[in-house]
Amino acid sequence: MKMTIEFWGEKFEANMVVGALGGFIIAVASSLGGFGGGPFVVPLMTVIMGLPIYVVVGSSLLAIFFNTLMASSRYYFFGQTDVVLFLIMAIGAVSAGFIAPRISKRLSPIWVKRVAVVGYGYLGLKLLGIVP
Amino acid sequence: MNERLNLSRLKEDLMRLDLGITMPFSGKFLPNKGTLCDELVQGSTYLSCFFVFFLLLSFLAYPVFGQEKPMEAKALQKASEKPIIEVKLDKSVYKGGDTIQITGKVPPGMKVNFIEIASTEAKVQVGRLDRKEFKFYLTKEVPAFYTIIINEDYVAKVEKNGTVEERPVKEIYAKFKADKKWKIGEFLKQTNADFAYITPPKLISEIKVWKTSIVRTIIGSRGEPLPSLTDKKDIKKESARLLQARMRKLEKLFVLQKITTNEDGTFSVNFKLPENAPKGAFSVIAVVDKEIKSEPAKFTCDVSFPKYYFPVAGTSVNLFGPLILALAICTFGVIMGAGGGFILNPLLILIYDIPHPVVAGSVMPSVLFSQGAGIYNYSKIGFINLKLGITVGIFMALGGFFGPLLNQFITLAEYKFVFGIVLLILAALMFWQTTPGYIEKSKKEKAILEEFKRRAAAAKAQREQKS
Repeated sequence: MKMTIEFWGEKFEANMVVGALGGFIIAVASSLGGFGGGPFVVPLMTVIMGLPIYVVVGSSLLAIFFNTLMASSRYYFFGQTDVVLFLIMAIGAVSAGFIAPRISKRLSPIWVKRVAVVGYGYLGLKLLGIVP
Repeated sequence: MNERLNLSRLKEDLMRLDLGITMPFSGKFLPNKGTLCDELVQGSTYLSCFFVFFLLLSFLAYPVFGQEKPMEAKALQKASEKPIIEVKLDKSVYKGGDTIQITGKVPPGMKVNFIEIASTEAKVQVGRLDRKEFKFYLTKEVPAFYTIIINEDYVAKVEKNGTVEERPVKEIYAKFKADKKWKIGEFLKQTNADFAYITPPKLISEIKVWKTSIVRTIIGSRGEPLPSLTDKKDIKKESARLLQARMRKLEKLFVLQKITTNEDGTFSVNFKLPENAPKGAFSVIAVVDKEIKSEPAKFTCDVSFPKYYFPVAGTSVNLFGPLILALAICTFGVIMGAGGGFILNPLLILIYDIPHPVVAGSVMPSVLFSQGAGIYNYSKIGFINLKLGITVGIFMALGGFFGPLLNQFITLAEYKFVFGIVLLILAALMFWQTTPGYIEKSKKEKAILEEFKRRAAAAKAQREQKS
């Protein structure tokens, strides 16, 4: 099952079986670690599905949004959410959602990928217990 | 032989005594029987015998009853003789980060071995799953702050198979600190720190219990409720485990420190209240051993703006800290196509020492906002494919249904290694995709890069034209 994705005049073929199955496994695994799943979705879409980073950043956010929404409600249900702490961080988070795309637009796709490599490299080392 | 003689003499004495009492009833002292007068005389004799017997009994009993009063007094005296431990603090109100000077006095010859410091006003909710019995425990009354200072010179005594084993507490502490799967119950027992584990069982009135199963956790239920723990012994055991579930690390609950007790019995120790200490009342109890403890000395922790006490987290944090962190990390996260939670989580734990479950539960909904705003702004510039995002998103939502439930019940320590390796490989491959060699080979990537350069040049020209 393939999906054609067009970006800036270039056509990319995305294998959606890989995307769906990968997304399912990533969601189970990443929410156990307490993060939204994005760190695995971006490499899935770029490295495994071969899609351009510019399309991946936005699509990845959309993909993990549902997961984050469900996980958030569950955490709230289990009484793990500190509402004040969440509200304060939400102000910073919303602002970040406006600032980041403006930066991405000005960054070359190579550098957007390299920023991602730094973040995912850090998470990989963290999971291995090398960095805090 | 002597014992036998004594026994036979005792028997004889008893016989004599028995005769003496029973003789009037057997009529041996009353040879004339039959007349009414005789019967009256006999009856009065019986009465007089009863009277004498009663008098004798009361006389004999008097010293016994008489002795009871002095015994009671003795017991009271003993209770009042129980050594008095004095504890004083240099101030009554502190702020997070302040050093508390704890001083006091014990009777000469004794030593203060433990000091318990607990918040008595700020309490938090903590849950824990017993993986052996598959029971879920939860209470909302766990002290938000709890520490036992253990005298580093103390030698713990533990009874094992009828013999008392002595071990320096330093040795036990090092062993437990190195063990990631340490058990608080074992630690308290082996170090004798259970002598000082006083306040949590007093504060917690009940611990709720559920019998659960993996299937139940998947459908979003904690299971069937079981009778709550209300017995103080059960609460003592379980509350310690809940404290461990909240604090995780040994050094957050137990501090090995020198407690100097001088020859005259005076002692002193300094304790630095953590920066994130909760607000409200605290108690300090000095403990010599199982029996000898001080009355609680009390102090208050004051939290004022810009610091704020987060009631679920049970910690006080500068309000602007998480705000700036969220702004910076989420910006970084949205650029790379994630929310930023995976970096925000460890930073909040590292900088502010907020308990892990609360960090996960508060960061996740915050990140939802960075993602939402990111999706909106990326869609405005065309950096998104709705079909791709929604399809992968639906399958992720299915997977995400199980995740937070399992987070309560499963620790992923063993699997983290695999995820770490996989992510590092993926990151390396992504980096390889940014190398000139790869871009040269990939025509589409090259085309996009060139298009970006063209657009950037056009935007620059437009800006220059405007200026």
